[in-house]
Amino acid sequence: MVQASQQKVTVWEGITPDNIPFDELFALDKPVILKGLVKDWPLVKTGQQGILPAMQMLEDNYSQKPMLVYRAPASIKGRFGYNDNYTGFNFAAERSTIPNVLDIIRNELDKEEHEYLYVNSLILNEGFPALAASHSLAFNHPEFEQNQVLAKIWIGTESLAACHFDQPKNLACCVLGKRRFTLFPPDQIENLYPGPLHPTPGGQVVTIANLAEPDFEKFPRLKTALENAWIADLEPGDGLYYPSMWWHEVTAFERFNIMVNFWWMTTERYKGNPMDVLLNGMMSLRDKPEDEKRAWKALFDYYVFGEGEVVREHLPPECQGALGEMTEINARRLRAMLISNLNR
Amino acid sequence: MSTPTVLNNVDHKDLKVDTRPSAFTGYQVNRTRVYASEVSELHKEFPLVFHKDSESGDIQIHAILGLSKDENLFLDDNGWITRYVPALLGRGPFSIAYRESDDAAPQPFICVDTDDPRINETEGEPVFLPMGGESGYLSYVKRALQTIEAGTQYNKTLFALVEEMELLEHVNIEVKLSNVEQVNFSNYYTINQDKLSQLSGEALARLSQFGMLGPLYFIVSSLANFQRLIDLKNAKSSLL
Repeated sequence: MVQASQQKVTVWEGITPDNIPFDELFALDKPVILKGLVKDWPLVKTGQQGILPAMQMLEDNYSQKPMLVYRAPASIKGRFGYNDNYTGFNFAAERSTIPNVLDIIRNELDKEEHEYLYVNSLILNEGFPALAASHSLAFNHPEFEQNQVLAKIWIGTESLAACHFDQPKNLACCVLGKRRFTLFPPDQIENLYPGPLHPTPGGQVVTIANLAEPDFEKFPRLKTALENAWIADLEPGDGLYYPSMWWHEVTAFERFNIMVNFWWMTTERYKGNPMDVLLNGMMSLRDKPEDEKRAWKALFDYYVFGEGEVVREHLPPECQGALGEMTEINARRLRAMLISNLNR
Repeated sequence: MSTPTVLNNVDHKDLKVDTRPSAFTGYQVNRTRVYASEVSELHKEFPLVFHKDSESGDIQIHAILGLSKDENLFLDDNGWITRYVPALLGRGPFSIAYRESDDAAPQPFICVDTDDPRINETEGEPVFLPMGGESGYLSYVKRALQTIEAGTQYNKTLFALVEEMELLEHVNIEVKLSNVEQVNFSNYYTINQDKLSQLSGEALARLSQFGMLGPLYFIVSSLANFQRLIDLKNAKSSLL
């Protein structure tokens, strides 16, 4: 195990799908490349024989269920993102089928100028149920006893998904075509110029800055972000783990690319979505006077970001209410209170 | 003409719906299509019958509201005199539409027909609370829309089962209002009680499994509500 410079992601060799050292991964709390993790997956091996055999394998195992594909003209050069004023997108989301998508890509394989297509975030078991079992990992860590892992597949031409964060932890496996993850720790948000909350190209806020051709006049803090970037270059068969909430731009470089990733949350379903806390914060707190905001920051530090024990240890259990451990029953009571408070 | 737009609490923040009978001629009907999903409420107040289109064979469930053309005896000047209003009439100028989403299930959203005569900004039920929250009226409308959505599917199942089990029998309902006035209903069917009670255990189990046994008995018992219609009609006539 080599801890590389901050620019380069740690690489672990010799890990197989059955012996992923989750304890060490979680303890490190940083992106880690698991070199050759899934080199023996059937789709990876078939992909080594070429694009066409891999496409064939996808078609042979396709569930026939229609799915959504992002489709864009040659002019976007693979950068799936916004229109000029960020009110819509530079691609169309269409309902399609795998043979249809693969036909379009196949017909343009030798063309310099071509359409860009991206089937993204398709649930592996929905699209290719027969591949789900043979393209899995052993999630044998206590963390997965409570938290369901969701396998997704990403299929398409060259593509660039603008930098964004996701709440789940991620283990991404490069199946076909080289892929680059450009990662940023969560504290880089202010240097990444996040775009609108709505609409977003894939459900998450993305940066509106171009990281490859940075415009430092328009986005001066981007320089700091790029100094803090972690680059993970993946080849077919490689896995990449990165923690929850890390910003990442994902680039697929080849004429045809496949990735399978595994997502899992580390929270109970009965709890709320922290994004709703943020939205309510914007509505209720952001425009308050500085001194009041400081006071609220202290309250948040105490009640939310501090240790749970501190807020309740001096109180008998029977009076703790929302200060107590956030059990399902506690969450139900708070939810009812919030719904009624918000609905006015 | 109906022009549905997506309901939202910004463009429609002051929207009100006048639910009084005088605001909408559409309430003046002598029958309305209803859904199996609301039969458990409807049967306490309305006569419910099956209507079979003599040409297409399409089946519907109707609640009978009046005994003359355009007569709704369950309305007075202030509104409905019943505790429950059939969802199709209760939903007001609102409807459900679906938006495609990345993740499997299409997202439902509510549309409003802003050309509807009940829509205004001064009279009636507010759709949104002062700060943009959901009013009690909007919650009610949502439940009515859900009743219709669920009921559309529920009705299909019910009609398939009653056809298969041959439970429908033609009813010729003749209502004598007085010595001179009489009303006839044709194309109407109800459930043959004898056949229903003689169904095999297996057939009863199937009806029960689909949640249809209750609605079928409710529809049978609802016929007693014709007497209420007659009483209402007579009461109204005596006022004239």
